[in-house]
Amino acid sequence: MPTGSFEESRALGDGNEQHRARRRRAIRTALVLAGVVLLIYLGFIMKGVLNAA
Amino acid sequence: MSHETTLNQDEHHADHPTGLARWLFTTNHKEIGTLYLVFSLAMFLLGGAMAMVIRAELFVPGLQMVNPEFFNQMTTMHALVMIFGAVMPAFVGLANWMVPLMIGAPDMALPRMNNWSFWILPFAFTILLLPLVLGLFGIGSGGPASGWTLYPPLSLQGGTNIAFVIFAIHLMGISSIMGAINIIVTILNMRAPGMTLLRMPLFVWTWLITGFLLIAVMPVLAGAVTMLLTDRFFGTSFFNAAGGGDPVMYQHIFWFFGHPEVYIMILPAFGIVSEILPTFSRKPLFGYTSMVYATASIAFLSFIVWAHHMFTVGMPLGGNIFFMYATMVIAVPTGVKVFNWVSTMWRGSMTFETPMLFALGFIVLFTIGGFSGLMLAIVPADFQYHDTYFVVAHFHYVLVTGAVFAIMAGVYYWLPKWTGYMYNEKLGKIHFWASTISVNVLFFPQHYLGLAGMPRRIPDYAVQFAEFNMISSIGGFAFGLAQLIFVYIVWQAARGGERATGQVWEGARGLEWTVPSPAPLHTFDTPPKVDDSVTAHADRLV
Repeated sequence: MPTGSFEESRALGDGNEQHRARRRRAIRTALVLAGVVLLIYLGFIMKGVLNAA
Repeated sequence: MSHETTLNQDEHHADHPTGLARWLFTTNHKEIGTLYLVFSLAMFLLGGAMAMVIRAELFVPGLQMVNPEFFNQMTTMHALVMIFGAVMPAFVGLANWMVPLMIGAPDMALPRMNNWSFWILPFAFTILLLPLVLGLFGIGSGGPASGWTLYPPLSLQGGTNIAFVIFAIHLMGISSIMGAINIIVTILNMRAPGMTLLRMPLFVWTWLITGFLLIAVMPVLAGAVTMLLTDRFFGTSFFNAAGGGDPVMYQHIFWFFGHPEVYIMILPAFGIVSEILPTFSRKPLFGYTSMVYATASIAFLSFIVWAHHMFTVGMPLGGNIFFMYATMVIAVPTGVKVFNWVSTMWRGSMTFETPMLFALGFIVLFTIGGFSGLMLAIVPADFQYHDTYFVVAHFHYVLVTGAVFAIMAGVYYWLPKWTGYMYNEKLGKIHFWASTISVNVLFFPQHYLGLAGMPRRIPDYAVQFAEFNMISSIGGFAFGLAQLIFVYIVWQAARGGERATGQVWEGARGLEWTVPSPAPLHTFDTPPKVDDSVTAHADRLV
């Protein structure tokens, strides 16, 4: 049962296939966005490296 | 819509953790929203206390209260605390509370990450504030004093406190990025059936766009301060001209983050105002679709105007002209928004409860900040205004009477939904008028000080600036005192009072008003069905 704990979201998703599918999609989107963040971070540092080289 | 399920969902929460564990381990969007808002309020009071020190020192010419080094620490820390500790977490808190409720989602898409996003913040600010606190006890060189922009070479010439600042900024950035990713994926993946993109409340739209802004620019800031760190401690020369680097490049990179950052702090404010005006005008929002496009346009333009912060640094004439006109173009979508807000109110059955007063105050005073921004966008004029109190007046009209007023409006608007109790309306109105009058006494004279040539970030000034500085300081003290009324109102409404209904406000429309007040811990476990009858911008309001 939902308790507000770390298990809560799993419990919410476990009982509902549609909800679980949406969470899976959300995790995939989040990973893509995290990749974009990393690329931007490294890209600007690379800009600094090239500028100073 | 079927809300029977949502209305009776609180029955199985008897085993909900209590005490510290409840707040440490919570994955519930409402509780995390509350944590963000309480943290933000604490930082607002801390940053405000630093502002009081600044205004007390500037009350009369000469050095009387603090030494210049400490004054510089205060201006630097005031900005960092207010931007990263007060305004941004407040908007994330409001998003945590309201976005899932507005789109019919049971929670944020990634609740565990949501917990991390918040709990990183207290650690980040402990690290940020540590050098300042230790400095008060005579340990170390005190807090950072080079301004919140941390421009090299100045920021690299101080003590080792820069390492604390950079580590703290990295942590804040990680927190913001995780929060932004969570909000974006929640909006894109967790909407209830029928909640199409163009049925979403404006607050949700503005946060979706803000989320993308955060993802695009927070890593830019992280990259800039990482290079500062290696320059200071590892012998690189990214920004050191003697080693082949370029300090001006830091400014370009910083402001490529810094200008969109301004819109990160104002787009959600636009969303809040766009929620409140239809409710208290009892009319649908005028020009919903154009509001969405205007928000997206402002976000896009925010990426191509960064060098207007650097006109006096020196750049080719073509660059000056491009950044000047690109900046002026932002007035067009902003004008669309102001036009739509006024048109929403036009011939509406308006009432003036506290949220509406703050929303109206926002429109009038933020527009003043916008106009002074246009003045600063003019290159030859900027050569005169740059680094004067005119700039201080401009961005405080944008961020205090803009962002902070919108946050206040949002808190008054949604507080009954959060606590289940109405706040004290009379005190709310006193808070509004006290804030509005004092904030203008505080910041309007600073326009004149800037035009007369008073530079910013100085603890002392020439005697011809004495009168307006004294007026400004009196306004500052009054504004600070007025916020204590706000703290009392929130505290009182959290403890009890007149019971709030589910809808709370007569003209309120939207999913968030279909759940009881206070909102149960779990809502929309069964997704509601959404149609035009529940959206605030639909033209079927009864």
